[in-house]
Amino acid sequence: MNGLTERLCRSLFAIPEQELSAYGARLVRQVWSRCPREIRDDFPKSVGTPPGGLAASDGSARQCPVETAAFKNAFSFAVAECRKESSKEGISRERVCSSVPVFAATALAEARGKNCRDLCYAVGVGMEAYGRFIASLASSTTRKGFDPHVLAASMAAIVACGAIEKLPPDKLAQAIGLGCSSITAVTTGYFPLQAAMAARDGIVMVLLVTCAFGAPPDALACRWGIYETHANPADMSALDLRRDHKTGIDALLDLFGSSIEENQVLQSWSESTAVSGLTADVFR
Amino acid sequence: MNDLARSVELLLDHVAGFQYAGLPISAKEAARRVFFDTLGVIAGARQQPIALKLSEYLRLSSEPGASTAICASRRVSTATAAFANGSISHDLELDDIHQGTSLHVAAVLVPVAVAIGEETDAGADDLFLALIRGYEISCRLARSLDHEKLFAAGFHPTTVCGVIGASAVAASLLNLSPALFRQTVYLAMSLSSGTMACKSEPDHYAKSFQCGVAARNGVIAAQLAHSGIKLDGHLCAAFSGTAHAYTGTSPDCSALIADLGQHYEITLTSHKIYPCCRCIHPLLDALENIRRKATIVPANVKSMKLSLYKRGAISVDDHVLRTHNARYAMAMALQRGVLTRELFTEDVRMEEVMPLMERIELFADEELQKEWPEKYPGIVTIHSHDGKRYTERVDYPRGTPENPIGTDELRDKFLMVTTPVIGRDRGVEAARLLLMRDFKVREVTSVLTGRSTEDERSH
Repeated sequence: MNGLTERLCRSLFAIPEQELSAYGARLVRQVWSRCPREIRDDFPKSVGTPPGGLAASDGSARQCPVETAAFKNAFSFAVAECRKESSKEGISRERVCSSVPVFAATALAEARGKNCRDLCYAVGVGMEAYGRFIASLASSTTRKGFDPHVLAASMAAIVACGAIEKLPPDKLAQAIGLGCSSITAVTTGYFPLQAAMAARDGIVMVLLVTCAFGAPPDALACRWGIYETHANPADMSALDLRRDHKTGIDALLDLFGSSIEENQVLQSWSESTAVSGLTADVFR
Repeated sequence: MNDLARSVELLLDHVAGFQYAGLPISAKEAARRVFFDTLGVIAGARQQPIALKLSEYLRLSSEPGASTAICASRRVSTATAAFANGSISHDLELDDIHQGTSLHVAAVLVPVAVAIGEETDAGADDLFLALIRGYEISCRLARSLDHEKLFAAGFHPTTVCGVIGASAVAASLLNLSPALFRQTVYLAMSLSSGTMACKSEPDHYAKSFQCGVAARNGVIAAQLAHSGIKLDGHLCAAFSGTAHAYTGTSPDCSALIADLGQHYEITLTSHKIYPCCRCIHPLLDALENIRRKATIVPANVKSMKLSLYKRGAISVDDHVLRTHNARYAMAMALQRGVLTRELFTEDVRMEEVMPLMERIELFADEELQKEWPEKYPGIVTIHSHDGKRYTERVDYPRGTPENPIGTDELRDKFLMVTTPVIGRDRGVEAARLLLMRDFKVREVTSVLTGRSTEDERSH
């Protein structure tokens, strides 16, 4: 009998791609069209990484290693969103956390030479996981002193990156197992940093598992698993393992609305556009 | 200002303020031993499966930089080097442990010291000062949160508290001002993590990996503070929030500042001589004492009774991790004589040891528990088929502050773990450097990885 973690992964990957991709495409468009200016302006230059690593773009449109790209973009976006929405703390947290799988999957997809279709599906399935985790965690996690949005975003980033790497469900469950070991979600922590680490670690966990790195087999439900340590009691039924169609993202609010500063380039992308072309245009 | 805020201020002011010259010799010498011992354990783990997999990961994605990932013998960014070295530092289960908090502090802090020390070309005094500062922060935080409560709630105290100490090590080596030191610790409070779910994984990967994550996050916190990220909130609230999240209670303010400046946490280091959980060590020492007095043939053992203080017995009773399974470790020790890390892997078939394990019983002893944590008592009693009875009790296993091992023994351990990996000559040279009055981290990593002096110059 497979553990809860693997069953969740199987149920996520059983959802038809088109059901998830449309949501993923919309979120990718919304996030990327909001962020170039903020990324350029906000990220401290002295944290920069020497160019010449893998092909992923950071805020200064330089090439830099894949986890660094995810970290820097997510961090800058989070700082900017929190600043904009300081009077609506709850909304900004959800927006920022929705962006986490976008930045993680974009960086990895770019490095792996994937196209926008792959990216949109990955973000869609990541957000489906996000929605299910939020539904199962929310109140008890908050009571324990952890931020359920950061926790769910960490999982979403792993699932999205796992989809980019086309991990089978058992391997994705292992990546989640490693992720559960490294979640940084104390509510009193610095939220933009935690969101950025979630994006970074989504990539790290998936790459480690592709290198056959071991992990607890069922880190959601095992002894001292995430449901025991971070969300006790939790509503595990909200993970909705029986279904093979989306339920998580349907429950999410449209946090960005329609009044976005649409970038002309982003409007003209197609499924076959390479992700590297997309990010290059964003930073043009 | 409330008690917690006052205690946090006092602790950080003290730790950021003390300088190497003013520290007692006992603390300096303890720091040297910690650095020496842990670096040996890291180098000795280079060919373990976890190191090979990390090396492959670094090939997929790593940032060029000034610090050495010892598992891959290549230079990467400081954060990545801290992660890679931190992820193998705990793998052999030979890294030291802090008496009183059970933190494997060195496994988290030394990788940070190596990574940033290489970047800043640090010498011995800088490294030891940074480690002493890191120990003060991590261990006092663990006392304040109550590491037993952390364990009970399913969190890994080594990493939850280790990341904060790691950030202090990084801040110290980056020579950050007291204000930035404070910002570093504040940022690191956001990056604590680690659960005991790792104990459900027999291969020990996740347990080791968590140390690497804590080391990496400590570096990142210091780099962000250094770059000008400034938090406006109250550090005291972050302490309080961390305590609430991980233990459900308030931190003990007095534990943060007890005997501040009089006592240095790093002097409470226990060095391990067996590659398994420290709770088993009194039993292994007791068995060793029995064998010094009599020849014990495994086939002649009718029964072996292990009595251990209750807290220890709970931790090592029929554990899925072989390194944390007392009956397995004792059977192996009896059967093989010398315990090596390989004996605790899946390469050894359980059928080999099962007949002996079935004759071994572990008891959680309430009377011995009363003496813990002042002592770590264990009693081994063997009954042989020819009617003889042997028994020995050990209160302080070898390597503890009460029963320390000498520098020669520490050097023997260093050579024992490094020789199979880097050869005896390089091991001897590395040990010579590390035991000198002064050395540079870069010199040591060059010897450990086999990089030539020419490579160093060109770098």
